[in-house]
Amino acid sequence: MIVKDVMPNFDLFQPKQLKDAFAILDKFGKDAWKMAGGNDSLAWFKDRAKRPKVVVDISGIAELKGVKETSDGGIEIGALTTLTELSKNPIVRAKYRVLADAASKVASPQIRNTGTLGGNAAQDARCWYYRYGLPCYRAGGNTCFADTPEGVNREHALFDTDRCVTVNPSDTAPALVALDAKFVVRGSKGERVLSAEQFFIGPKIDITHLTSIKPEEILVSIRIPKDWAGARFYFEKAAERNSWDFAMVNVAAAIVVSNGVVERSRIVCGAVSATPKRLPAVEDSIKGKALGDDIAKVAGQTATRGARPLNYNKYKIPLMANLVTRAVRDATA
Amino acid sequence: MELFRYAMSVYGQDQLLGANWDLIWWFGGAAAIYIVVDAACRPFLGKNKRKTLVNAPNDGATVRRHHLIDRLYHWAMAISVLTLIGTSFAPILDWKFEWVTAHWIAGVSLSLLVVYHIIRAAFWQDIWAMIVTPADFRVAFATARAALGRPDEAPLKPGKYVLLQKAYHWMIAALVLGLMVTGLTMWLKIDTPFWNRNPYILGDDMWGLVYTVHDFCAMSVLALTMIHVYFAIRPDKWWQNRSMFSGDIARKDYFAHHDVTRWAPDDV
Ligand SMILES: Cc1cc2nc3c(=O)[nH]c(=O)nc-3n(C[C@H](O)[C@H](O)[C@H](O)COP(=O)(O)OP(=O)(O)OC[C@H]3O[C@@H](n4cnc5c(N)ncnc54)[C@H](O)[C@@H]3O)c2cc1C
Ligand code: HEM
Ligand code: HEM
Ligand code: HEM
Repeated sequence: MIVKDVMPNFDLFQPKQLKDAFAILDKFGKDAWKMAGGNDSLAWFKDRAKRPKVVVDISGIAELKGVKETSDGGIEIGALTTLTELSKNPIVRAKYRVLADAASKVASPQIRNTGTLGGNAAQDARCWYYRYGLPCYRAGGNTCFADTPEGVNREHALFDTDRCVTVNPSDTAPALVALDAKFVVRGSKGERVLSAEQFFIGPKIDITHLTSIKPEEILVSIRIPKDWAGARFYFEKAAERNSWDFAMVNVAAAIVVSNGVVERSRIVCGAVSATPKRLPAVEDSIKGKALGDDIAKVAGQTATRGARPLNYNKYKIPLMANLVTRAVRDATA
Repeated sequence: MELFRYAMSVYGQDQLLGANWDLIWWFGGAAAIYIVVDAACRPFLGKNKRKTLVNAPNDGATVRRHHLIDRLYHWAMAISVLTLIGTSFAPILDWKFEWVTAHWIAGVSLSLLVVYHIIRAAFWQDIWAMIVTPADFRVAFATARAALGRPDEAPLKPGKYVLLQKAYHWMIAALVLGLMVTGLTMWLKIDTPFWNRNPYILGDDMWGLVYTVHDFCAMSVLALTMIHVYFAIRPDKWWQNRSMFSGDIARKDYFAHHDVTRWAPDDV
């Protein structure tokens, strides 16, 4: 049986500079595992479900830490900024509250103290068949154990499945998408600035990864444009327990209202598909309208259109509808 | 070199998943080397061409080699196979896009085309045109000797297809049939507009085998297709290969290159 007591051996590298990290990643390629706060990584190693030969602990790279304002009026958040720092940061709280709220809802204080924004956005799937180390599609195998008549798929996806039905479990991801964040990934060969659509990928495109970060690349920072600063925001996470637990569904909304009507909005649900699910139909349905109970209700109904529930996750449909309704109704500046 | 991909099964044992994808480079590389070596040797081998008896005037008259319906079949089949190769190998080689739907649609199209072709070949075409006979080996020997500088007195000529073409046809046929059987089985294991996936039609080990066969046949088809396209576009064969476009070869070429007793087109 699978041994779950101690971690298998690996070579540990602890570079202090980005360029050294790139040199190590270039050398070991797919054999290397990047680790920031380690909250996701160490669980994989202890379960022996992932056995990298080399672990590159990037947590000592100072240039990847902190929040700074950019010349174009937005902010740039270093990938190693911890979730606690993020949730307390005065600029983030003042301008982009939805992100601070989302960060403060992740797991437990201990995990937020060490868990990084980069690691949270890049974290792997939580499908428990996959986490258990079974040879499913996501692990490079030929099947999905969750999408079967007997499969336990309460936590799984409503949308955009393709052979694999896992969801992206991150709480910060929907908030980042709502803020139209750009993801800066860098390797020795150069830098790519990715939109959320390019950064988060579903199983149709790549069944073994949730993001498009390449083995030799590191997510260095996340840029938030000024466009949504000070908008009306809403974040809510529905989980089974109030202490640390992953979202069954979460919602993040940024809504700009002018002259009493919605000028533009970005509304995003997490844990309903393998990428944070932006809801353009909902955004269209509220555009140009004054926010109120009726509009919010329609928005909720619109949100779940096209959902294809599995055996045990049908409850996610009303849950998602209600969360979107509340987001539209209760978003505040 | 590892030949297979394994994973740890539910029971903690090695479970076969498929072929090791690094082999793509070996299959592709072998085909590339074959092509390069063949292209490099041609100019020397070509010098001692067999003497050919040309008993037809160069009057522009033609002979039908491939009917329109067979050309359409060839090209539709080729497009399906190239699509199948592109949609499956590009993502494995790290060019990511939504491939599965395009892949199974091309796969089902290919399957229908091949079923049609087998029926047509069995009842409407000359099945002997493709069957390998001892005469094919005699022609192949004579051709090889001629190429090596010992042209025969009385040249031996082939029927409609030479041995290599027949060998290629049957290898491709076996591989494509293998891909069809495994591919259509795998199709039942993914969601489509027609049904929901059913992974239970086979056990884990059997699925591993199905994927492995699909993978190895796929890499072989990749290699054979590379070689086939190379032979198809070689200028010295253009007199014949143009017929997959226009349908015809020149009447003089028919008499020059073929044994009229073994291949008698309708219009001769
Ligand atoms: C008990 C528990 C409860 C949890 N509950 C929640 C929850 O409610 N909500 C939630 O959102 N998350 C939850 N998580 C997940 C946790 O928040 C994330 O694992 C954590 O934020 C990851 O950050 P980290 O820095 O520790 O990541 P790590 O474990 O270091 O890395 C996570 C992954 O991201 C990759 N990675 C990290 N940083 C980078 C980078 N800069 N560039 C490229 N790749 C990188 C790593 O290779 C790894 O694959 C929970 C985790 C645990 C253990
Ligand atoms: C020239 C023909 C073909 C080639 C080169 C080819 C190649 C491939 C390759 C390389 C894979 C990846 C397999 C793996 O992950 O192990 C694949 C998967 C697949 N093929 Fe084919 N294939 C061909 C024909 C077909 C046909 C005829 C079908 C029938 C519909 C088919 C259906 C599938 C399906 C459904 C999958 C995906 C299975 C999954 O992800 O679980 N293929 N193919
Ligand atoms: C057992 C199955 C098969 C049989 C019996 C068969 C038979 C034949 C025959 C007899 C011919 C010669 C026709 C002629 O020129 O008069 C032929 C040609 C051809 N075959 Fe097949 N074949 C089979 C499978 C396949 C498969 C699987 C493929 C596709 C990959 C294929 C592709 C072709 C092509 C492209 C030609 C040339 C074009 C034509 O004349 O139709 N064949 N086949
Ligand atoms: C760009 C791609 C291709 C070109 C230019 C091409 C060209 C040709 C030509 C010119 C012929 C006729 C040879 C003759 O009359 O003797 C032929 C025959 C044939 N082709 Fe293709 N073809 C292509 C792709 C494919 C593919 C992808 C397959 C299947 C995997 C295929 C399978 C066959 C078969 C089985 C024959 C009959 C046997 C033979 O003549 O060698 N072709 N092809």
